[in-house]
Amino acid sequence: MTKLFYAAIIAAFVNNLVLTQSLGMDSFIRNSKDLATSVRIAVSVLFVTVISSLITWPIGRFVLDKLQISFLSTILFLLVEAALVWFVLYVMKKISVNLYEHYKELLALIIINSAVLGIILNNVEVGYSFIRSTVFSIFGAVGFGIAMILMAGVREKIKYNDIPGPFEGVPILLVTAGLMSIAFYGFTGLLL
Amino acid sequence: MKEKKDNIFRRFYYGLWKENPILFLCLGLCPVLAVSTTAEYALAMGAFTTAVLILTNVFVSALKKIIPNEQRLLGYLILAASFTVAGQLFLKAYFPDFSEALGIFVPLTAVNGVIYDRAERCAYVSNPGIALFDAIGTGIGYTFIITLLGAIREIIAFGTIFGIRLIPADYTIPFTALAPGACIILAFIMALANKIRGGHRS
Amino acid sequence: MKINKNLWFLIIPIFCIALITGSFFYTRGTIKANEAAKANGVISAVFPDAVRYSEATYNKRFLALYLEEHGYDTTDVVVDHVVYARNEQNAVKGLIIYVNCYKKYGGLIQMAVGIQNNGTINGYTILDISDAKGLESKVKEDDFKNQFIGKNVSAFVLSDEPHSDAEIAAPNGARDASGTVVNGINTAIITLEFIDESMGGLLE
Repeated sequence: MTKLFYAAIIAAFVNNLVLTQSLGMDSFIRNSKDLATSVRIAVSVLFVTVISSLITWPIGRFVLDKLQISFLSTILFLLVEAALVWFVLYVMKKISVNLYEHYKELLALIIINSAVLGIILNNVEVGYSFIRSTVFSIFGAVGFGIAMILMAGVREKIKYNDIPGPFEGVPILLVTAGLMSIAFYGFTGLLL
Repeated sequence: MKEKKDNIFRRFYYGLWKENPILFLCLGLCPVLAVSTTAEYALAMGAFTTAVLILTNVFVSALKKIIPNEQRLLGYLILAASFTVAGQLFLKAYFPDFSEALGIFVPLTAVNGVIYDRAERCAYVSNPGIALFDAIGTGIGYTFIITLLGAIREIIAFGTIFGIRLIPADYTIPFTALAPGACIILAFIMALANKIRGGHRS
Repeated sequence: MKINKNLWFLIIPIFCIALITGSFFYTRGTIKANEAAKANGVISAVFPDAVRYSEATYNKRFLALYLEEHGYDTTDVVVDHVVYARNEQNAVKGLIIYVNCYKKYGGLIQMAVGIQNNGTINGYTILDISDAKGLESKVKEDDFKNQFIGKNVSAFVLSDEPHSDAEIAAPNGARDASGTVVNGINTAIITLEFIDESMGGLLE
């Protein structure tokens, strides 16, 4: 049990998807404008990652590995993700058109988020057990969400700061991300 | 909204500099930050992404009549993923060292933002000729910046460039080889590009 | 146009399937050749004087129990398979043990350890390090590897200032990877003991 607990902490902080592994950077930089959007993205990523992971792990282990065609995981898992998102949007449209309009763009962008695909590909490629994979997926997505929310908070704070001309816009965000990343590297001391 | 005629030279120039995907459009950052630990790997990643970008965009443009409007993301997805998988196999067969070094970012090219942005903005609305040159320009622009970042990081972190030693190993900062180094160095490159271009855009 | 729009469900998937299957069969030969060459390269790297080799058969469950008795966690290190290294007279000179070690912070190191009959380490080759983030390649460097070659100890351990043969200095910034490699080599040493015992002295 402690092993799993450590694995969770590692996935969320030490091997943070965005800040340490540089996955999902696109969404991170562009969409963390305010807290509300960040939370929505974090929740969506968590949902899509976990469910996709649950579906793709068995496919990877029992179909792709047995037939030795693991290179197909790229396109197969991506299609699973897309199908999942399409299904969720379909259900949303039936429940509330408002919700659907809100989440439509967001969920479409999640499909091409490299953090989600990255984590489900990694789980199958390295060959973790089912429990370990699921823990990594859940807490990896949680770590992504934490990073995004932190970033949104920082962005709101620096909105009214004086930033040197050429750095305005994305460069200063990258510097911020870099500093956050250094902070997260400090987490490796947690478990040594 | 087209003031001038949209021709292949304009598209090429835009892709290369004016709308450089990394510097100004901020796309496809994941491989840029993660893979550019050495100049050689960066160049390989850039070349691979360019290949998939060109193939996907040309085919999106050629097949645009039969991709319905509401499901164009799915169309881009299937084509990009297929070319990525084919590319993966070729890379593994003919460049196995790069295939191992680039690791998980080879399959992740399928979700590289550059491909989808160019497909949406250019390939879906233009003919294959223009799409081709847009993709070539964008690809070369992307590769150039990622290699530049890779070269700078390699020099600071390991003291070599493309394997040729420039600075003795004792004076290097290996920490730059990790993610934060990439973020900060890229930030400076982008700021420099902003300065060169004049004015700023948020 | 209406006919075309309905056809897209067929045209694009067919094209993509053709593309992928075509690439697969075209590159299959080269990929297989690469992997065979690599496997041979691994064997000659860790056991240069092995002229022939054969796969060892042993009971994996017993090996797992044996490892656990000696205090090794078998979910962290898994012995993939073992190969006998033989000379021209077909006598067994040592073993090549393929180990999969999971790192503490996630990720996997696959390595092949060459170890002689009497327990002396010939060396090791890293087959694969997953999610290598630049600094972990230090365990591939000769500086680190040479600390193991030619030594005959019951178990290695990481230490900041190595005094004895059994102590290994970890390179800066790669503590996790080097700890994992040490773990893998220790497992290989125990596996040698196991094979020796369970085969009733075949190696002597």
